[in-house]
Amino acid sequence: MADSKRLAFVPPRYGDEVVGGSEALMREAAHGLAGRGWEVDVLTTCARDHYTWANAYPPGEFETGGLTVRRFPTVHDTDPMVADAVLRRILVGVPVSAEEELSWVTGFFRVPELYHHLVAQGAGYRAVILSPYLFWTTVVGATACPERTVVVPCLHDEAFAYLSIFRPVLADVAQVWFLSEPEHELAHRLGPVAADHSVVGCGVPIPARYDPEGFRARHGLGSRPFVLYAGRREALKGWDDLLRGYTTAVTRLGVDIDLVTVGVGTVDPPESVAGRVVDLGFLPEDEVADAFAAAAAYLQPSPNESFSRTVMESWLAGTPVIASSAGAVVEWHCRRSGAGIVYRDDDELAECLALAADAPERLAALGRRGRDYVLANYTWDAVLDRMEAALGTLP
Amino acid sequence: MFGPYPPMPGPAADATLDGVRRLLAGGCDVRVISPRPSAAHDHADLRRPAGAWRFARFAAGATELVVHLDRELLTSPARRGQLPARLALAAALRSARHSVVHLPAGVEPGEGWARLVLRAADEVVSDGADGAARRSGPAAVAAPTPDADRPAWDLGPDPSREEIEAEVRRRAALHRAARRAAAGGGGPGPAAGSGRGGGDALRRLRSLPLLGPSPPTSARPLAGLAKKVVRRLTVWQVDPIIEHVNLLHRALIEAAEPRPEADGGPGGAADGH
Repeated sequence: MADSKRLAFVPPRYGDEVVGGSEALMREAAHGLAGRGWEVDVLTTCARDHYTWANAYPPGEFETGGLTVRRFPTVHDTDPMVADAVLRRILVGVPVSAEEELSWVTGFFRVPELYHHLVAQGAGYRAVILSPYLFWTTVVGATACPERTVVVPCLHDEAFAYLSIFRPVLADVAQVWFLSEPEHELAHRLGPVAADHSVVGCGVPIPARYDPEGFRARHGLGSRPFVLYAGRREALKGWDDLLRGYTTAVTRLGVDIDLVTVGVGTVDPPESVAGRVVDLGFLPEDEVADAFAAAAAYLQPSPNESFSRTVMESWLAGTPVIASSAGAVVEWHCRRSGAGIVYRDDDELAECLALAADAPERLAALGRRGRDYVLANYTWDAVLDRMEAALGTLP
Repeated sequence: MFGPYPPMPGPAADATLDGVRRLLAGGCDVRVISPRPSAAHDHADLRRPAGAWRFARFAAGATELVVHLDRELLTSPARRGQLPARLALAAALRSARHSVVHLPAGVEPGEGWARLVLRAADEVVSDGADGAARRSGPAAVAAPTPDADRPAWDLGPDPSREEIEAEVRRRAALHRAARRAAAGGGGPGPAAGSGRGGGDALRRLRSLPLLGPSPPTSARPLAGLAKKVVRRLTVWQVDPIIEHVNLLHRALIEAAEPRPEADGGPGGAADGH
């Protein structure tokens, strides 16, 4: 018999040091709903690293922040090179069979103990909430008790989303929660979606204060204007495109503005702009908030965002956003909020950077509109209200 | 430093040696690679795939990479043989902090060389028949002339995002038109953001991770040991293949990347590969 106030959150990784948009969403939503009186279990793996999925935490149960966290060990009993070979074919658009899709999903890790826990205990939850769509825990977990499963897919318009193995994840569960309208539209383009679905969004914590001058002083940035990029410095996140556009702006237009970047991954700027690109590496959350406040604009070059938390963080700090038109979700936010501008190629990015350098006051109003947009739509209170309303319609 | 080297006779070898002397006089730690065995530290025959990979391995990560290309390599009729050399050179030039390519006098490199190799260098020097060197940087391929006097922004004091985007696009279109005019191309050229198919292909290429050897591990202890032994025995044969595949991968990405001078200009045609 289902406990009407008991929930299970099932992220593939969990922990304060685990970095990722979906992981942050699951962690903060779990704590948020626990704070509203729900009894929340987090069922997750012992893995910390999403490249190796090796068991880093001990298995077992512990309490934290009002939640019960239960970790299950990952199992690696298939050849990862087989999965890697299928992955490469998927990435370049070569069709793969259903059997190959399954070998890819199971090739990196399996968590049979977690699955069987859901089979045995799933009926005791009001809802079992799985995220993101891409991993074994969601694909296989959704089959344990589909009648009370909620999926938060965090879809991107990428090759994986079109695989047939993910169709039941969106169609054969009780509810689907999307983070944005473009993600919702993408899901319908991919195939059938469970009848009960809604756009709930994602909450963003609101810093109590910002210290842009302190940030500049702590990191030796002086008074020079800069644009900011925060996140993974990888080609898939548009980092290479950003560097190319920034180089165009500096070498071709003579734009006098620095590029400050925080996050993980290799920076590797061209020699012609190396002196202007400042890599601050991985910074704690409160320091990143100050970085947003100190920047003339925030750059979001990624085509693969299901929500874009960093854009919201920038707007909360009153900083305007310059985004690539390749990302449908971010463009949607920019249009809806009136707080960001989009570029279509290197020339337009260079002109956007020129504006940030020449006339930053023309962009200032955008930042103010952005803060209003986030406060109106994406506080955790507002998002949790929408989640609870959706949970209320489950049978 | 790559190029013909003593005891090979001829001006090309002399030029390489002169360059080495200058660098040594400047206190640099110099490593010389020549196309054939010579007085150089190493040799790598860029006409052969194994030689091209060997060169890329020697030259990877150089602070300063100076490459003297010889006439034979540039004018070889065996087009298929040129591709490994171009890939290796382009990769090495990009990985160096600063790179210079010297072209022999009187030789005009073909479109494939210009697009793949010369564009990767920081400077291209044409050694004249009179001994004078005519330098050109990437300016020869794409013209970055900083425009310090940008026109004023045609925006009100509190513009909307639509007004800002429209002004950005207007100014970007002016720059594209100016580049096309400078390149001698006619017509409007492709619009911004066009070429969606090419963009998808480029994204797929970029998302593909570089190839690496399979880790010699196994949950079964003896199987892991066997894999380690096999890896040691075959590394000499497998690693060059992996390196070559990754070079091809990078070259494909570079070939698929949009080129500013391609808007309405010449080029873009395959050169027989």
